[in-house]
Amino acid sequence: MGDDQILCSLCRQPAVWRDRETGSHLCSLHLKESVENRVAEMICTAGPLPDRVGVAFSGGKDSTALLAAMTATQDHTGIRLIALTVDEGIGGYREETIRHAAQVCSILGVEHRIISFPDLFGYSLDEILQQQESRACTVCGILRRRALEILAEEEGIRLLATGHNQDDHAQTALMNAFSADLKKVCAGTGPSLRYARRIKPFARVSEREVTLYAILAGLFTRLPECPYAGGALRNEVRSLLNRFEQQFPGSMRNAAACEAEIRSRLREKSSGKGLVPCRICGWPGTGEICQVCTLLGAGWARSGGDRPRDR
Amino acid sequence: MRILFPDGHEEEIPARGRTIEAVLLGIGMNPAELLISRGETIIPEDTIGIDEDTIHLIRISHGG
Repeated sequence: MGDDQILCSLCRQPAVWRDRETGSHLCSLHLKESVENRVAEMICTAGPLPDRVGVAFSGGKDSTALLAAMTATQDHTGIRLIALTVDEGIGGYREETIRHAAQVCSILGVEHRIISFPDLFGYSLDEILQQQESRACTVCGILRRRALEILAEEEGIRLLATGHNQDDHAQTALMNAFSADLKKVCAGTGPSLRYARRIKPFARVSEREVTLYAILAGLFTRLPECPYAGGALRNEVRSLLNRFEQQFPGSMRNAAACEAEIRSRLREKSSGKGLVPCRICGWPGTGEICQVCTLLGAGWARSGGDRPRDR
Repeated sequence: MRILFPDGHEEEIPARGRTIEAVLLGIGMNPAELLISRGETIIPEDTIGIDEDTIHLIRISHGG
């Protein structure tokens, strides 16, 4: 060991990363710097920045890396951060990841707020899924998104950063192509006074780099897998894209860029279409009845959806 | 070279002067889905494998 060591192309320190497209190598310091530069650039080009930005923080690897990178770039971006966590209520899984989330916030010195499905919707995800486990990711996605929006609104957050990385965007591009559902491409981009605007600072950072960043920041922990994550289409698409990336380096980046381009062009065309309040809960959406009310029925809104919580 | 897999099992695989990337491809693993550590240190996948080494494979995707 030692003679075979590959060195950083910039400083000749031991390399931890190979750029598969250029063949260059980076050490720990320069890899972190490269990720942080892209994060800061994405944040600073996102339009006017409020003083305080929310970070959607599950406590998993991606959002942990995001929180660490955004903390590291605070001198440059000048924003204060608050980590927003949704506890979906998944027994035997979420307890540990929520604990990890709290620890990470404590280490990074970031304010932390948690909202739970039972508090908001009256039921845990486990209870909601009793009759429809096969739709777990769809159901969870709809409810988690609403929970985050409500938590952001409660905290007065107008800009919310999420941990979606370049691979996520590439996967979404392919999944949208498979489903040929153009509405999905622009989902969540409509203007609303109630939504916090969303940014994705990792949009140009690969999942491998995100994982490596979390490891190098000393914040990577092997956490349990979500028990509902098993058979999602996304896993198949991820595997397919990774095979392409291995064989044709740059495929993932190109697919992600394609998704951004399509989204941008479609947004231009649909920019005149505003959101309308849901007839049941009043939350802005694209249809008469929002997805949450379609899923849970009218009861949740009357019993808790519009009830101020005492957190 | 001793390889510790993400699922916890271990295998001894001769490096035969190949890069770790080539070793992994040879056993049907996709290096684009993994990071590699030797001891506590992360190393690039184009590092030449050494039979006396133990490497740990870290899966980058996680169903979280």
